[in-house]
Amino acid sequence: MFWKYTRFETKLLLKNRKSWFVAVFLLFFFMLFFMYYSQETPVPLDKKKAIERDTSYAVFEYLDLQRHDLPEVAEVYNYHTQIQSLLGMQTWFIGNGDDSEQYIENGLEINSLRLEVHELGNKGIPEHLIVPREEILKEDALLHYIKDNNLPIESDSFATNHYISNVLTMFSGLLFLVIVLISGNEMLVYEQRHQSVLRGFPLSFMQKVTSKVMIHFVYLYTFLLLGFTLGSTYVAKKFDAGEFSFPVLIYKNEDYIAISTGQYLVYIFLGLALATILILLLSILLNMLFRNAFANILIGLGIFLLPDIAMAAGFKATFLHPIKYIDIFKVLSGDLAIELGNSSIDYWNAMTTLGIITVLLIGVIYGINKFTYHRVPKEVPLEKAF
Amino acid sequence: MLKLENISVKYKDKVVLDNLSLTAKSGEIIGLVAPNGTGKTTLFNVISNFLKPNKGNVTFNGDLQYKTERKEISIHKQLATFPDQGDLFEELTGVDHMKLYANMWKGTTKHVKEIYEQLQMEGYVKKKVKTYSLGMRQRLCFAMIAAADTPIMLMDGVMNGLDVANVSLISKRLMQMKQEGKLIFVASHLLANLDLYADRVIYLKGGDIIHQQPLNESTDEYMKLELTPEQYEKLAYTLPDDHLYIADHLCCIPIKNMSMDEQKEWVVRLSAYKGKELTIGPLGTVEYYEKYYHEF
Repeated sequence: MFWKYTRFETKLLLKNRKSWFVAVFLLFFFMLFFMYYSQETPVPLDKKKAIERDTSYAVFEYLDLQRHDLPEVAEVYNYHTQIQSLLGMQTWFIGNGDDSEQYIENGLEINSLRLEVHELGNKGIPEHLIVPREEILKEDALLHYIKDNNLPIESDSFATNHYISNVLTMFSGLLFLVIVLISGNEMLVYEQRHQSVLRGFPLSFMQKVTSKVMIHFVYLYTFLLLGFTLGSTYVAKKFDAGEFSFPVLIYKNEDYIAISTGQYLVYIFLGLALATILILLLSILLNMLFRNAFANILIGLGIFLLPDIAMAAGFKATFLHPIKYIDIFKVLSGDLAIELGNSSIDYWNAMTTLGIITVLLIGVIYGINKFTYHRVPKEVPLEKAF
Repeated sequence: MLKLENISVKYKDKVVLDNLSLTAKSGEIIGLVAPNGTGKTTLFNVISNFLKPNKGNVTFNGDLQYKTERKEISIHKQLATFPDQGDLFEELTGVDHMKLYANMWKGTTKHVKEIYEQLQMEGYVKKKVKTYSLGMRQRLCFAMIAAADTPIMLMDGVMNGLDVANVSLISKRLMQMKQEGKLIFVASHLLANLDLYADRVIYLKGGDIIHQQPLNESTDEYMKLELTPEQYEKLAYTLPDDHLYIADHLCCIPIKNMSMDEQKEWVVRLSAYKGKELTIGPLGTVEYYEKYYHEF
């Protein structure tokens, strides 16, 4: 009966115009985003290095003012001179010098020196010109990865990562949440419009829920993967940006590690899969509690924004942080850990937490359903909703 | 097969069912008759556990009750309810609906074609429901429950909106189902039609069953004649004590304890009322309905 019921639900999904709207959106979002974004070409690596070198040079103006009076500033000045020299060499090696190995070695040394400067408290360097520790660690991890995997450094070799990270910044988080909430907002509620047809099936409630979540997950995920593949194919053909072995940095255990773009995408899509299931189960629960499709979206959004509202109000509500783990891109990049001031938020912790929340949601749904069979009517008879 | 014990459904300001008890066995068609808002649908909802009563039990086959979800599923495997035509899926076809019910209860759709052929639905059953008239939708709803083919069926308003031909078609199918040993509850306002296939008719009033009319057993016979209240008043003192004057128009004189001569005497006396039809027979559903619901 379960698979026959699932087949019927699939038929309903395919007949639903809203489903097709969401499917078309997912199918073309990435490609349209890439098409829009292609109007801004990514800054090539040699230009980035040139800008970095010039920005770094500006530090000397501030150091010069104090180095004669303060020995710590003088020490920082010495380190910075070496850094500046190495930056100049890097700019040469990425450009006409064309020596990836030397570029990497210089880069590693620059990072080491910058960390020394951090140990000295960045004395004499204004706030806006300090390279953050996280950035240094990221750069270090990236260069080590490139060195260990013998990858070439070319100006346009970062293009893949550039496009992918930009589209995922846009998609992961609020937009993704809204899409899944819209898709699943009527999963149970629509049955109220066809109550006498759908009531009384010899099928358990949890089997029905499993069927609905499964169908919605498969359809959403399929179109998500198709859409991403379509977009990636477009980007690869148009910009020659199909280099998936190139590293991407992820945050792990309060540090940054580099992994290949391919591996990164596996992590992202696993995270999106788990987040999709969680949001669909949340939709089921909200349908059970509020019996209103619109409330589903509104309350779902409200829950997602709770941590931001709490922070804005000055409350440090750590227990609300897991809500933000749905934004898997931010979790992987470490931005969420920085934003929430919680260094323990990395991919593995987030996935474990999301998994636990998913299991909890299943438990709550199961519990509410079970409770309806034990409730004793007092003043009014009890009507079964679903 | 089914037993209802002391079922009570009460809202804050209204009692819908009040200590209602009923038993039913397989191979029976039970008609349920009452005006709108008297509790027919509520009773069906209680039997199928769509509504949990304030008090009372529903028991199937001697031991199955709606205590847990697992038991509910066991019961629902044997019970199907008549869907409302307004709840059908407009974008799906009639066959889709029938196959849904067939799959959910029988696990197969092999019998679906035979059912829609029997119900003369071939001309439209493969089209989308949004193209159907009211009668076609109603027939589809019946076809769906026929496709479910469960031992117990609850049919609320099965004849609503059907023309004479379709009422006849479905009545025949109901009689076939009875032969197959099904227990069927039919809530209907087509009172004379119930007499054709129901084994008994239950009348609800004040939240309880006020009368159960067995239709297949031999019942008391009456001489029945339409009389105006004025005509009745003139005749009343001569009528036997156990006579009935239903809904201010139908005079019913029991002939059970009358000798043949007394019966002939009454026929002659009543034939004096020109233009009125005198019939002899048991009270039908229409007459009981008028007796219980139209008298003030």
